Amino acid sequence: MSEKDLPEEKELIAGLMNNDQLLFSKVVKAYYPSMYSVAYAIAGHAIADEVVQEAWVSGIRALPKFEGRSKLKSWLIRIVANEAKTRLRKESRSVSLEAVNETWATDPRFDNRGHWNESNTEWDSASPDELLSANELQDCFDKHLELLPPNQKQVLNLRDVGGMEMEEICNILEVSSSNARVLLHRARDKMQQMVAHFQRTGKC
Amino acid sequence: MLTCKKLVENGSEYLEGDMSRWQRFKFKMHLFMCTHCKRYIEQLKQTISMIGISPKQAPSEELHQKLAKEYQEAMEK
Ligand SMILES: [Zn+2]
Repeated sequence: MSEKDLPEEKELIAGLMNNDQLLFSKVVKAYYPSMYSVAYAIAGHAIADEVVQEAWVSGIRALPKFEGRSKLKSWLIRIVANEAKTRLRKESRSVSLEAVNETWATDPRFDNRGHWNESNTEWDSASPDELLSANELQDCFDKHLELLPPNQKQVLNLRDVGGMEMEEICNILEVSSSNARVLLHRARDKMQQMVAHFQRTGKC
Repeated sequence: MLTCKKLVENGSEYLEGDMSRWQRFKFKMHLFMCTHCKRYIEQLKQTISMIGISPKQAPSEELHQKLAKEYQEAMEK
């Protein structure tokens, strides 16, 4: 079940307001991967599912008041992110505030004049879907996402999986906008390097 | 001069349209002349899409049931 199988937004909201249980169940499945990823990035594996559950419960209750100013999914993602943050506070752990501690200073991809050392090769396919359809690549991709430092993982998931605005992300994670930008790009760049390496060597 | 390294370090800002017109112009000129960087920016875009579609977990049956019940109860009120 993916988002592509859901009806378009208007029909979707109307159905959900109208006690369409089959549709509700489809929506739960379709949105779960993104909702889970956002909850997990902020609050960790142990309580991610509870956070998703709480978010849905609040979402269901607030549904009659949903005004459609944003997409249903964005609205739910925002609820999840806030819920995850609240839970984290209750458990008195805080979102990692470690500074942006990685520098770009020594990057083996470039010589000391800032030119490329190696040539980056062309990828097999232009389609993200097709690229990920290679099982080993998807496994390697997941593994590297998992290995990102917590603060990079948070910004990356909120932005590229959850589709949240940078401003909201900064508010929720309590990071400055310049730090958030660096964290986001650092994480994306690492993932690009991972795929490039895989394409070049066929190995993770 | 905008080096390849600088361009790569600021790739997301370029993609998010988050820079001055002058900066943007320098990026465009560089990309026009440098196939390496052009390829990098293309691949960065692809990577971002891949990140978006990579999560594929399914909710546990238990969570699914709980939510279905919650929905049903809310709708019957
Ligand atoms: Zn270049």
